[in-house]
Amino acid sequence: MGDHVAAISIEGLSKTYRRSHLGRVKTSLGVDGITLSVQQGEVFGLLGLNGSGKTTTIKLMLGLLFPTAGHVQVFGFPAGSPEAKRAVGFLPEIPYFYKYLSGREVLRFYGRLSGIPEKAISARIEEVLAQVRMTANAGRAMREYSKGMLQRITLAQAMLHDPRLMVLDEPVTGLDPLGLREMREIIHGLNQKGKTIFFSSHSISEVEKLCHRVGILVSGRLARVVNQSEWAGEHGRLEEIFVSTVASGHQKAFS
Amino acid sequence: MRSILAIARYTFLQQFRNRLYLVVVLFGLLLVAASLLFGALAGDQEVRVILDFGLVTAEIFGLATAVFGAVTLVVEEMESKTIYLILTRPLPRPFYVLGRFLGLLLAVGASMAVMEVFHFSLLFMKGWTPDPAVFAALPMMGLKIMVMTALSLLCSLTFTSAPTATVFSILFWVLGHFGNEIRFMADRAGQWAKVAGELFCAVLPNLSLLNARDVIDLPGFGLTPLLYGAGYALLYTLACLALSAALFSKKEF
Repeated sequence: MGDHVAAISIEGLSKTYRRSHLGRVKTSLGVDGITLSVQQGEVFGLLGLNGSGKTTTIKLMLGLLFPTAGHVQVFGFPAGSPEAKRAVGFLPEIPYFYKYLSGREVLRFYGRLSGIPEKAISARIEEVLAQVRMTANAGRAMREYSKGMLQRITLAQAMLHDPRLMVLDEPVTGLDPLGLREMREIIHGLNQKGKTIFFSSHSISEVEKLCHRVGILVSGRLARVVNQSEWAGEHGRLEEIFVSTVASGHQKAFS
Repeated sequence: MRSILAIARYTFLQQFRNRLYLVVVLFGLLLVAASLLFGALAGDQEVRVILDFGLVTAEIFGLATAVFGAVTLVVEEMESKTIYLILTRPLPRPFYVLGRFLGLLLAVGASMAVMEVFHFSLLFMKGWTPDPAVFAALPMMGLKIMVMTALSLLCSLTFTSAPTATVFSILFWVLGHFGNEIRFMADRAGQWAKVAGELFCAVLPNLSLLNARDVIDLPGFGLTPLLYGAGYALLYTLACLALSAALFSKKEF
């Protein structure tokens, strides 16, 4: 696929959750009619309140959920296909790991699943461990890790197979100021190397510092896409845009 | 293939480092050792009692490791969401099911092998003369555990909670030994009950086919029932794995 292909292409994407209990089916809306395109090399942020559909959108992009309508393509391949997955590195909101394995063992496991050749795997693991500053602690069992250390290993596994697109779900949640700064530097560095970054966040200040464009989700709908030029150089402007978009989105939803 | 082996390897490692797994194996060894006490009470049948008690202990603890392993590994992996980081890798979902099954089978096989080595050491200490029929019963026991591992994996993917999956796996294991009795009762209860009984028994694993240790001493017992049992176990396991793979491919996370 050439450089002209969008990194992420979403068209008319909807997801309705159906839950049945004792014969009664309950439905709830995850996302509704999202259409969006993220270009290669772009840093795109997805802002929204809790339950607005950020994680649902990400799961649909990764093939963890199947859409009710519409479709998602990653570098021209259907979301969830092996070709699309090969191009994506995913950082989940909460680090989920095997407590009985060490950091290095976990990375080797994910490296093998990602198809990294056996000869190259050890060198690549040490490279990403150095990038996230975890070389010294990589031999310890993961149940002994602090939250910050878990977050670093999670980031390492996402970068391991050198993906073209990084999908980060709330990457700065729960980080201390130092961790926050390191994460920002890493995201910036990855983008400098040509990686496309797609991330969801509650933190408007972080999104403001990192993104070229921002999408605002309100009640499962993409209410607005904002370009960097609309907030650049004007402190607090993105927050104003976000608050007014959410307020008018809620008004529309209730009316 | 490499990703299947990677999942199998890490399943084994996870099980091996799990304290619960080690406690179950240790407890099994203690019970095998306790067969010496029961043997002492059995007078001239001492060796026979140690032999039977040891085999039953290894099977039950093998089953416990298989059921709890399948349920905790798969259901907990979904609950703890570690599955996200596996399914976002470029591997087909059925490979995950197969890798988990092979790793679990290896872990259960290792625990049963340790128990049986200990068991046979005790028997040799008591002057047991090796009986080829008993050694023929061991692989059949292994096949029974293979069937139950695949079935527990299927239960863990069918039911959303770990306790439900465990209860159904154990229920299938118990009922699987009573296929003939279920058929007999259904037969006497009327035409519809007969059809329902037949259908139910066709779905249930026929574990009595694999119970070679109960019948291997009978006169005229040959190789044919063993081969039939082995073929049945393989087919039943493959059917469970195929269903698990189909279910897992449609599952959302």
